[in-house]
Amino acid sequence: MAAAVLVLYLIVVIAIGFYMRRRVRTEKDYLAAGGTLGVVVGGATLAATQMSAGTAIGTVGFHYQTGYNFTWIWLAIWASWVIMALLMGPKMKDFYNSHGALTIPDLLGTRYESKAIRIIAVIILVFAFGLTVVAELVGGSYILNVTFGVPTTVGVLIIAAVFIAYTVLGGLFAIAYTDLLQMLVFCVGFAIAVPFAVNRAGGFVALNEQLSSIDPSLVANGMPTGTLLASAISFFILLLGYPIIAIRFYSIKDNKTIRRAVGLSFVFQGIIAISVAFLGVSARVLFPNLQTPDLASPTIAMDLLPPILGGLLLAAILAAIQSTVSAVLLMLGSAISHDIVKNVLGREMTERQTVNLTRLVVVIMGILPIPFALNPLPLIQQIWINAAALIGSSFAVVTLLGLYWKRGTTAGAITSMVGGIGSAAVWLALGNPFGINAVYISVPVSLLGMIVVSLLTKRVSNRALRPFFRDERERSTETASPAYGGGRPI
Amino acid sequence: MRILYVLPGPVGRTEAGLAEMERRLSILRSYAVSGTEVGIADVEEGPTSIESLYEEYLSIPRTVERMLEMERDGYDAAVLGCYRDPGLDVVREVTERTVVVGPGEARGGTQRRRQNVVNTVLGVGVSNWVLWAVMVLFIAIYFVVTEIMNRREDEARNRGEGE
Repeated sequence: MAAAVLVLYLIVVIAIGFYMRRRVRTEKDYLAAGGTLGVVVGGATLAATQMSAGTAIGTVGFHYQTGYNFTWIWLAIWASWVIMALLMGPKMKDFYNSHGALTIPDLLGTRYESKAIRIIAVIILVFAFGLTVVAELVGGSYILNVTFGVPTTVGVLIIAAVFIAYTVLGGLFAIAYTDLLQMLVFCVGFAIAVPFAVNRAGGFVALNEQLSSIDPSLVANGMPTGTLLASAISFFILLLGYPIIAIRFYSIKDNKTIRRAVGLSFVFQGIIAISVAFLGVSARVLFPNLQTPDLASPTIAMDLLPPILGGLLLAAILAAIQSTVSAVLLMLGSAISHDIVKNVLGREMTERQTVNLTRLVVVIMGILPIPFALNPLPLIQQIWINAAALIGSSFAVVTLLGLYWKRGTTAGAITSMVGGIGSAAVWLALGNPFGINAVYISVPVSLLGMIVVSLLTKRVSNRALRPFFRDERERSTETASPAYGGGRPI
Repeated sequence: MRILYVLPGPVGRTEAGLAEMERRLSILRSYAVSGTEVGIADVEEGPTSIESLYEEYLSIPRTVERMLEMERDGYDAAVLGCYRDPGLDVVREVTERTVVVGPGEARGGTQRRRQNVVNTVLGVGVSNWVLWAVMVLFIAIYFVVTEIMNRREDEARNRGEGE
């Protein structure tokens, strides 16, 4: 029965992709859902993109190990989101409206007047996010393997086939509406599992008494405050300008809708944050001898819940994986087709040709990680953490300062991106010396590189600043410059 | 595993003392997991109760001798049966492999561990209730602030259109 629920979920997801195919007419439709998403779908797609296997499996495992207080992390994530929604979202939406921007390299390439920056951004995105696709595929196939005994190879192929299919067919329309379904499945699947798990542990008070007898800190501060604060700060920094989240702002209708959608995504995230915490601590009491904490979610699904709800929980885990991977895949597809082929190489293409090329690239980018997922490297869980460190180190400073500091120059941005990712890579390769997270080294390097080199080099032209700074636009209007309004990304 | 509970005074000289030793032994055995052997012993000389530093110091030489004897007899661990832990550090200094626990010191450790959870509501530390309340408050404040921003933006737009 659990398997039937899972199969039904996968069929519905593909059907949504097939249905949404009809709505895709232009590149804008395919990559940004025509910039028309409303509060509910927008909020769901934002939340679904944020939450992945790391949430459905890893965070439950963290709560299994350390108790309730890991939930503080969510506040750091939300603080980062507030900055994105209130400071970055409006400027990105303006840029989308005025220049038809569709990607993060679009934003950086235009703001810093540089094709080199566009290429550097694409290379970093393809490399770092490509790694995350491998990690998600391995995570998903692992779930199918331990729950239904599906061989890993078959599991990887099933999961990849489904998310490639609906992403290729419907682009961001398909992703956004499957995200809505996936978010509902994720919220309902996890929230319904909580009363079952708590009840099996003897009720809320009995659950906490048993937790306390295992280790009193599980009901209080299981993760030491210093460790928690360090993790929270690194999450906060990493998510500033996080490309797969930021790119969603293009696809939401307007600034008001962006703000409301982010609020709704907090509600989705809040429900899941509390649910994963309760499932993690319940699993600690009910299944204290798990081989690894990552087995907490699948064990609850298979050994505790009735078959239909167990299937729903497993579908929720797969939903978390697929919603993130499909977003990554579309972003990588657009990075190659839109940024490299269309903008850097300057190939003239019709809308139809552009969409078809992006679809082709999405298929290729979806297939490429499969061999790596079939022969996974050790410590695959670590890949996400390292990839996030590389992405945050290269994009956070240039995106945020690019939108708010006119003095930021091309050379400063290149130094910031290369310095950020370079120092993060070196620090990670050295194994985080002195126990210091790579972000604490790479982000200051990135920030310093941006400020110092920008102040020493020639500022970008007013034309590059206009899409992002209102006063530059107004000045331009006063002097009747024709460059703003119907322009295209540089 | 073999554990010996050592009383640092000649408690077993009287009937009442023997009865007290029996009572403590039965409690100790009720705590022990199966396979663990628990014994009880006292010392031959010294104060029968320890109420002052003078009595505490008087009890130490015989207690140390008893502990060494206990180690020779092959016990794995010992509990020093007095809340003042008389001579605990000395006993640890002269014994080689036996684990020796003093109830005073053990209680201090437990208290420190429990400090984190001293304030609980329905078994959950207050800090976690605060966290959940902050999460709800965060979302509520976000909605209020952004709705004010939305309203101001609408008003500004309407003014612009009006002009």
